[in-house]
Amino acid sequence: MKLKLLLLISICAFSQIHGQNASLVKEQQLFIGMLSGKYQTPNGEYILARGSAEEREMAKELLVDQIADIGLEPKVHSYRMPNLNPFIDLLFSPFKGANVYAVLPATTESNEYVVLGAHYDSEVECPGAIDNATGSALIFSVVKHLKSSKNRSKNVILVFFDQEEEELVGSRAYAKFLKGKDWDIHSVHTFDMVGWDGDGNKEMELELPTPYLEDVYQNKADELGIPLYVTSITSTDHHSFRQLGFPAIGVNEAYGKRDSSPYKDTPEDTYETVNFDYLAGSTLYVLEVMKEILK
Amino acid sequence: MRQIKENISVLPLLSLALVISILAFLYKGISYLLIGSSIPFLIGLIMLALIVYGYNHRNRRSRRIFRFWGWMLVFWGTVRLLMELMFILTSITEEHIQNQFTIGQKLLSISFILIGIFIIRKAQFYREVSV
Repeated sequence: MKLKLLLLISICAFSQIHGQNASLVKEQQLFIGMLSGKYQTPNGEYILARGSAEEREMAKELLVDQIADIGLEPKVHSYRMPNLNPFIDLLFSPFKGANVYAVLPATTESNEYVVLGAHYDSEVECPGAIDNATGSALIFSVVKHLKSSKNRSKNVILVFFDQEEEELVGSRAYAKFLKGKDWDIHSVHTFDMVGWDGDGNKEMELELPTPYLEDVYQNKADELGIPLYVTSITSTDHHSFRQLGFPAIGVNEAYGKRDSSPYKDTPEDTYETVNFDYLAGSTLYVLEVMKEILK
Repeated sequence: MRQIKENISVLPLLSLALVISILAFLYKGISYLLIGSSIPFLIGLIMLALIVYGYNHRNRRSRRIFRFWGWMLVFWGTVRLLMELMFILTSITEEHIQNQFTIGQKLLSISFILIGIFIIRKAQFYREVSV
């Protein structure tokens, strides 16, 4: 009798987790499909790439709508940024772009903010399904699920960066913007490419975590059986925040171990190449990490 | 001030070319200053000071300053056109760089080369009139 009961409970638990995973996969398939030109956006457009100003504008509009759909107030952070070398400024005009963000308020009074960021642009003429519609889908799903949580000790900022592919301009502008606020930034977590797991081991990469963040991520990974390793790669958005003194971490597929999309920055970086189970598993993992941080 | 007015009336076209070109660079400088980059503004300011000095003094240095500015404009436009050629040859796809080479930007480069040549040529007369 006891054995039967245990079996029944296990089946129920499994089907609940499986159901959660299945609905998450479906949700992320739609999100990534719209961002990478597989599906039409609600405005009736196909975003075939997110490299040109017009394509990035379409993607921005889609993200604004998606944020509004989950009941948050979308905000657009438009910016102009100088070139990397001041002498290039003499020759060229400045970078222009727009980050999209929203704040999920804490359930208690707090001036602490956890930033979840991912870039939404892609290389010119690349659909950018893995790089980086996957990272965008991950943070969107995490915030959507956190919204239903009743205990959030800190505010959460969901931010989609523009122009990562052009010298991290969008995240540099956003870091500068945050520096000008009197918000107490607890930590910045950026996600770039979370859709490839060639060897099927669910491994994830942490880029330059602070000791505290490494601990939190490692503990949850141990609980969920997710292999992790740490690198000192600085070529993506978390670097912009660390440069201005924010505690930051980059999280992604095993890029440093070359278990990463071979289609990065090519027209073949399509919806069909995304490993949605890996993305959903990684999303649930990050969700658990966030719950721990927001305790 | 009187000296400046007199010089403007003697060579109005040269004055116009100098004013347009220096204002364009100052505008660029101010727009960069507002977003945290001061080098273009400082360079614009130095050139403005030199040109005002040039107008206030009737000496050989004035002519040199104007010619120098003219050559700078030619250099600026030429470098931009050469960079465009280089980017075409190397097939760079970065959106920001592509945006620097629109038809409007090309016309701007060519205009400034022409203004530069004009200033170099007219600066000669400035000396003759001034002496």
